[in-house]
Amino acid sequence: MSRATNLIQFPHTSTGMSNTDTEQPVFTKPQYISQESAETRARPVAPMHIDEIYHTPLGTSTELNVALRLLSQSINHIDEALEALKNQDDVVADDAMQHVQAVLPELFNCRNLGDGYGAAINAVVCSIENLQGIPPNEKQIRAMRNIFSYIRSNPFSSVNLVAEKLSVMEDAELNIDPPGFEVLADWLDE
Amino acid sequence: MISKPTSQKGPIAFSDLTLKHATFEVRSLPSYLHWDRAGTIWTEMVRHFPQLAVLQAEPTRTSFSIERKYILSVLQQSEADQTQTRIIVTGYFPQSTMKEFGDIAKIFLRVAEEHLEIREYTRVGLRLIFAKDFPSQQEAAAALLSTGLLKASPDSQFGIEGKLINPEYSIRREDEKKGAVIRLKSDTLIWGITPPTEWDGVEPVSIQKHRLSYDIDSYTIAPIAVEQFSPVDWILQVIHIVNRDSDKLFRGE
Repeated sequence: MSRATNLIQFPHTSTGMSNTDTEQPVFTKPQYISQESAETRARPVAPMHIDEIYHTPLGTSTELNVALRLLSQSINHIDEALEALKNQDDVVADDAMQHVQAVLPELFNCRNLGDGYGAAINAVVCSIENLQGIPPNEKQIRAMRNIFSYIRSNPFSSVNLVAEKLSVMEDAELNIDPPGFEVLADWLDE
Repeated sequence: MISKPTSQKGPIAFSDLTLKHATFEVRSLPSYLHWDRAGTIWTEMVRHFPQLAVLQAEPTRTSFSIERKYILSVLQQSEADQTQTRIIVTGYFPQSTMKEFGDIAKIFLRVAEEHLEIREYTRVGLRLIFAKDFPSQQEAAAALLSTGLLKASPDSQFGIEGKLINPEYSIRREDEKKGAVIRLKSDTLIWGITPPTEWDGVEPVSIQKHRLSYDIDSYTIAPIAVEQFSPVDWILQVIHIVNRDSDKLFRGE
């Protein structure tokens, strides 16, 4: 390490700089690739998980901090609901899903994260509203878990990518459109 | 922005330094669409920042500046065994909160991602350079040595009796997914301009600065999907960590 430090003012893999750059910072031009950098680049690395990218929650925006925390909690509640359904305990399952429903407004408040995030949360909100008090079945709960899990891992997805994922909810016979949307759609068609 | 060199009373602290330079960069597998869509990218960027001015326009590099405060670049580069596309935002004397810098990076990244059809970043980095100027080389060197990070005897060594100048401290820390290179360096910079002979009345300029620089480059090693990445949040996080941990470094902890 000391040899690399003595010979290279900064390695070519430094942020923003390379051998071909004409603009130089305080330090001299890099001479060659450092041994550590070459070894690091040669090693295959698994993609980063969302919690590895934003590993210091206090350092990120409030919306991202809140969204990641509440989505994590919601997924845990959904897992509790699924476990309860497996044990044929509808009461515990419904209670767990009530906890999920309770944080949806706060999750929706974080929609500044992106249009895809907003569309995903909106779809879950609308699907629960359209159930009109009927508890979701196992397939529907799994579909919601699917979308929560996706948006937690990819909070900055585009609307188009999220739309592909929302088809799982529609396959589970969840209506993801706002209540009364079909009336408005018919009216616009006239 | 022009800070006068001042002597240091007591050991140097992180709060004594000023942020001079910030560079945010993302790298991806090569997107040759840069050759087709550079015009589209910059036309859209001009809609967001009407004051954008072209600095460089070549097949492998397009760079624009915003009022000499920010430089935005898209590069297609081959180095050693890798070809990559690089999107870079450089800021000169940015605010310490980096809010404007982050907002510019957010827009630029979104436009570049869309037109270059980038799906994944192979590396994300933020390099910050803080500095303080001193009246003399010795004072700049003493400031670095006051951190206790380097041990250097003031006595004669190797037959050289002389001032201790230009010390440098550099380490790299890495785990499986991310890393940081941290450098503290005391140096003398000479900035000079010699005007053409025909510019009568304009004298050559030469400015000497004895500077202590603190350069921290935080980066990721593992791939990140674009759907996972927010430049604003990532930059905020790096700033938070640098502000939190730099004082400890300066105390030699």
